[in-house]
Amino acid sequence: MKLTYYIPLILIALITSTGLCSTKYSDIKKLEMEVGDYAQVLLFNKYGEVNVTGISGTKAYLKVTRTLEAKSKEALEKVKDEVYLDTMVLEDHLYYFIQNPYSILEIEEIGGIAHYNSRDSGKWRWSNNGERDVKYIFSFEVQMPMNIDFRVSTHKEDLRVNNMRGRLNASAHFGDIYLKGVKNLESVSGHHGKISVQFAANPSIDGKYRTHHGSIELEFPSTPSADVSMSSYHGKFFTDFDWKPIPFKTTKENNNRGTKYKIGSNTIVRMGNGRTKMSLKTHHGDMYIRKSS
Amino acid sequence: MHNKITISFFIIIAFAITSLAQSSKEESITVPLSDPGKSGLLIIKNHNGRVNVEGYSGSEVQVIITKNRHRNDHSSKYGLKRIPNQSLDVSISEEDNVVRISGRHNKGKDFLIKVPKNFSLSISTHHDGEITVSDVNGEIETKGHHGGITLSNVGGSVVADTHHGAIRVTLNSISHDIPMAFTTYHGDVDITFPSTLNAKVKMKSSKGDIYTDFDMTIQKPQIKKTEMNGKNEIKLSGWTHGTIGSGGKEFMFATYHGDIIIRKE
Repeated sequence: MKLTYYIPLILIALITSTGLCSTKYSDIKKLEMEVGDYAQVLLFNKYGEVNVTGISGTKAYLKVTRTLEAKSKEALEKVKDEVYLDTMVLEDHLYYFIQNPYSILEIEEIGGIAHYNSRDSGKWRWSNNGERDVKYIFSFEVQMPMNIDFRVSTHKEDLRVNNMRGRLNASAHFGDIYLKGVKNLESVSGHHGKISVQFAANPSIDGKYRTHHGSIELEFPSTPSADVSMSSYHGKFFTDFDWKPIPFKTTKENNNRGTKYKIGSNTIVRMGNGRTKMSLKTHHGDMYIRKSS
Repeated sequence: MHNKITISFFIIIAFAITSLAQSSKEESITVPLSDPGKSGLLIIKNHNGRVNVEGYSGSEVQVIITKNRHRNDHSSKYGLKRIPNQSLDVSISEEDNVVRISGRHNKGKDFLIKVPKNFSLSISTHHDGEITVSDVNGEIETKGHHGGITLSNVGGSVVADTHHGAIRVTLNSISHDIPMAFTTYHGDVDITFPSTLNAKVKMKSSKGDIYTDFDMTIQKPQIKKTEMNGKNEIKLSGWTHGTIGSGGKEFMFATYHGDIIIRKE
C-alpha cells in the first residue's frame, strides 16, 4: 500500500532528474566576413565559451555551435527562430551578438562595454514566458585578423584568445580568461575566474586587469616598462622582475562639507622605466608577474 | 683581529637598521580644522593595528600612518619573490572640526595622531589594537578587543572597553556630570582619579580583587528575591556598589580575570 502510494512520486523525481521533459537541438553556423575596413570588431556572447585565434589577412571566420534545449517541442521550434547569432554595424564598428527577444544587448557606448539586459542565470526556470523556458549555449571558434582592434566578451564559460596583436579588450564573468601571444591589451575583466595573460611582446599601452575571485597571472618576454598598481584584499603579489617602490598616492578633495583625503589605496611599484601604467585588482586572488618561460 | 670583529659587528647592525627602515612605510598628513579656535572630535576605526593619540599645542590634526608588519613578506612562491603589500588604503575627512579616519580591514597599520589639547576622541580597534592616549581633554571613548588601553594625563570623561588587555587610565581632571565606564575581560582595570573625586561606583571582578586608597562607603549587596512554585530564590548581586566623596554620577569598573585598582592621584 505504501509502495503504491510512493510510485508516482518516484516516477516524477526520475523524470525531472533525468531531464526527460526537455528536448535538445544543436546546429553549426559558419560565417566568413571581410572585416578589414572596420575600426573595431566586437563579439558579445552570453552562455558559452569563446575561442579566438589571430590570423593574417583581413577576413574573420566564425564557427558557432548553437545548442538549444527547451521544455517542449513547441518551445524548441520557437527558440530556433528567436535565438541566433546576428551581426550589426554601428558607425564603423562591427558587432557579433546573440539575438534574443528576451535578452537584448544594451550598448553603453559604441565600441565600449555592452551587456545583455536579462539577468537570467541560464538555469531552468519553469515559468511560461520567453527565455526562461529554454536554455541556449553558443560556442564560438573564431579566427580574426590579428592586428584588428577587438573586444570580446562572454558571460558564462571560459574565454581564450591567442595571437591577437591589436588593441584588445576581453571579459568573462563566470569563466576563466586565457590570453596568449597578445600585445596591446587594454583591459581584461573577469569576476568569478582567473586571468592568465602571456604577452608576445611587452605592451606599449596602459592596461587594466580586474577580477574578484581569481588570481591574475601576467607573463612578459622581458621586464615590462610599467608602473604597476596592485590591489588585492586577501591576496599576495609575486614577481621575478626587479622592481622599486613608488611613493603613496594621496588625493585631496575639497567640497562644501569639508575636506577628504585618500591615502595609498594600492601598492605601486616601478618595473623598467615605468613608461606605461598597469592596474591590477582582485579581491580574493594572488598576482603573479613573471618572465615567459 | 679584535678591530675587524668590531667593524663587522657595526656593519651588520647598520644593515639591520637600514632594512628595518625600508620595511616600515610611513605617510604623514596634516588636516587643518574648519574652526581652529574650537575643540573638535576625532573618530578613528582601525581594525588591524594600534592607535596612539597625543595632545599638543598646535591647532591642526597631524596623522602619521605606519605600515610595518609584514611577517611573510619575503616569502616566495613558484620561484617568484614577494612584493610586499604596501598599500595603506586610508581615508580621512574633516567637516566642522570632526575628523574621521578609516582604513580597510585587512591592511595592518598603526596610527600616531596629534590633536589639539582640547579634543574629544572616539577610538576603536580590533586586532593588535593597543590604544594609548596622552595629554588630551575631552570626552574620550575607546573600544578595543585584542589590546590594552592606556590613557595618561587625560581630562574630561572616559569610557574604555576592551577584551584582551588591561585598562590603565590617569585622569588629571574630570567632568563630574558625565558617567564613566572601564571594562575588560582579561586584564586589570587600574584607574587614577584626582583626589577630589565625588562619584558613585559600581565594581565587579569575577576572579580578581578590588583595591582603592579612596575612602569609599560600601553599600550592602543588593538582594533579589523571586518566588516560584512555592520556593524562594535569593540572588546576591555580583556588583559591589560604593560612594566616594559626596557621590555623583555612576562610574563602572568591571573585569573577569583581573584586579580593579582605583587610585587617588
